[in-house]
Amino acid sequence: MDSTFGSRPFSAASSRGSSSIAADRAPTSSSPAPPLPPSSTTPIAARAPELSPPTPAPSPQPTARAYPSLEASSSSWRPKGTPLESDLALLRSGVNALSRRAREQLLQDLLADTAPIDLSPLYPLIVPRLQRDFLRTLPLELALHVLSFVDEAKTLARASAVSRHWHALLLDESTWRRMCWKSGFAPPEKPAPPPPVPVPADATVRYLSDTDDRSSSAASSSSAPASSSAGSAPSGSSTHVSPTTAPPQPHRPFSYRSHFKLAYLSEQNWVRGPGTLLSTQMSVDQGVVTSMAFDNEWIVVGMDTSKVHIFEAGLGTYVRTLAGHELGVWCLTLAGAVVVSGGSDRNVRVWDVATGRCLHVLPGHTSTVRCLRVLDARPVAVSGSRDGSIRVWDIERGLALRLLSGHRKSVRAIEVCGNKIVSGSYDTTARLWNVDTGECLHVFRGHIGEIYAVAFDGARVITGSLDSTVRVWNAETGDFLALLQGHTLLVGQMQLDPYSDLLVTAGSDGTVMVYSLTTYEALHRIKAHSQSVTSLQFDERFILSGGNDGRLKLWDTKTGAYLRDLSDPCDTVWRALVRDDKLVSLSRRDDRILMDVKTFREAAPDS
Amino acid sequence: MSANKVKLSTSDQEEFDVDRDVANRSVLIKNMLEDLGDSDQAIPLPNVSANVLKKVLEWCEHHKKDPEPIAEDLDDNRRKTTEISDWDAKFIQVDQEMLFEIILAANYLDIKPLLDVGCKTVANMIKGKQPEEIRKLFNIVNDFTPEEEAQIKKENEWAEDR
Repeated sequence: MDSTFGSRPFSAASSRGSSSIAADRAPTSSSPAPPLPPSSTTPIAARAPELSPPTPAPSPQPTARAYPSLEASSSSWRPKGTPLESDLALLRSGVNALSRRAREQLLQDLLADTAPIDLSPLYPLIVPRLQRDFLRTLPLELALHVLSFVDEAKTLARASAVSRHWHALLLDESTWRRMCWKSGFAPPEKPAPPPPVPVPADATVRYLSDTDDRSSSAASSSSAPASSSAGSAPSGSSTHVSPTTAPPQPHRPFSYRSHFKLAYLSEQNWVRGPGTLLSTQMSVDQGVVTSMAFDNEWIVVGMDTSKVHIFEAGLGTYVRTLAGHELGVWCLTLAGAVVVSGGSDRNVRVWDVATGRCLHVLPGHTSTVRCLRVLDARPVAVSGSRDGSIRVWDIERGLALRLLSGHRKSVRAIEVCGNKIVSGSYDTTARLWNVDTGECLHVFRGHIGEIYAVAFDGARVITGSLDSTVRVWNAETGDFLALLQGHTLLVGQMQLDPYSDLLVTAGSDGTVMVYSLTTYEALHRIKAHSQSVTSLQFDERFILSGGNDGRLKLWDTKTGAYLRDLSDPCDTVWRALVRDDKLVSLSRRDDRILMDVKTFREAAPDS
Repeated sequence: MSANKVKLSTSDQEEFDVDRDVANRSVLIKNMLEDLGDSDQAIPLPNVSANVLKKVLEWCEHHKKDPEPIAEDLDDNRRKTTEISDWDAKFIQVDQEMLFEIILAANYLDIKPLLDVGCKTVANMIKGKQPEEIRKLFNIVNDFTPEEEAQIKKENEWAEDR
């Protein structure tokens, strides 16, 4: 083991630091670098650059002299054809013939015999051998399984920029379908959601079974009536700012990836983006907005001036005014092709929303019609009145079907689920009815104040009252389940989401409460407005609240954190509703009624 | 051989004597044992080498008392956790080659929880990294042309924090 290192110009090599490749490699006996020319008198460093790839291993220090030399050991650093070559080959084939276990043992022994400094050059050789392009080398279904555990869009996007293979893999729809699902980005009803475009004048209106139930639950609440006076229809002074109405691309096939991207960006827009103001409708009308509903095609606004105004939902353009009610309209609902409205003139009216024709006038109530619902996918409307009765109507044929009596005072709120309805009354009770038989299934007694709001998912009945409490009841048995406290004044707004099992309520104290319906715990108590909350809506991401303080605010459903103000300050926000990425808000500013239609949809088509 | 022991034979002809409840973590072996009945024959696992099987059996040993995994509801994907238990996290601290082999073996042997641990580990390695960091980590060659790379960067801008 005489060192021949002494004859080599290592001092020169060392001085060149780790960039001196030959110096790094020369002392290692196991480096499979290309063979050197036979002469060992030539300074290795001098021709180093062409010998082997760079390595991060440190240059040998003077102590390296103690280690075995190339010549002394069975090194591959031997010119071809020298006698040792055959010895090496023999040795190697011998090793290869060993059993796996013996070979492993041998490698371990060799490892133990080798000084760390000599192992160092092996490191960059071993590491890449142990590295794996997992997504490329795993079977496709396993690669996708790996991706199924990535839940950040950012990571997925970055992964697609790694290599061509990864890029192709990240195009797989299953990953993006799962991301849509995880993020609550339900695919749109229509395969390709076109950007907002004006509805042509001759557009036919289809019957949509899914009327906006959010709008209905939010619209059930009280608003602050102000002085009313006769007024004209909203003038057409709409400021139409819509730079995003690129022509739709109807033939683009639906892709979850594109859908995810749009939904993701739209969600970001809700929090950060300015949104795109599609239109602002301004009315000289001095009345008060009492009710509003909107679906994919229409926005319908009820006024205490007896008018019902119709706008097309695409851009919020004014279409027409439905005139017929003799006194203020207090409630309305959109059910596909028809609007059903009721008010102080005690009549329920059914209108063709596309033509503006009044299809039916339904008399019967003996006092103001205060709340209205249409059953899911059935042409049956249910109305509640200050006369304490509930009436069931066939709105297709214009017939009175049933009278539900029992409440002793005004019926203030109604919610429907299937063929059952829940009514909340100023007589402090709520009742559960079967619409088809007229039977009263349960009477829920417990509140000590008038009931102003109800929510109902088929299994649970929830009531909000002037007594500032919220009560939860079992719809099946009629049992009282929980008392939810937190409000200090009238609870006039509530929405229930059976999927997240969350209940959000709001009231005259300006507070928004988020309750878990699993534990009946108050999860968040948000001091949202300085005056009463007039409008409330939530999904699993956001809570939208509007108040008499003129603010429209967005909150994080999970954390209860304030996210942003969504409107310019005004005197009062009467109603605000969100559908997909569109926000319609009705407010009063400088004695004008303003209707803002904004979209937060990301408009650019996927590239 | 005891009825409580199972003999497994690896691709490199090594034999392992394993407790039956340990071997049963593999749905493949469990089904084979049920089909074969009591037998002294070693169960051949031609797709698994001894090194890897040793590691897999270490996992099975630790998890032999776990309840049977519940058939995963597809709709439950949204609640899919990316968490790994402390023991599993330590267990899976291996080099990439071994991790790769464990994933393949878990898939072949049909050990769903171990497969998930392996795949989650790879997913966690990717998370939050820039493309260049991922390439470096897995020794991947960037085979995009500069034009393609610029195009993809632009394409992906939407997902970056704004």
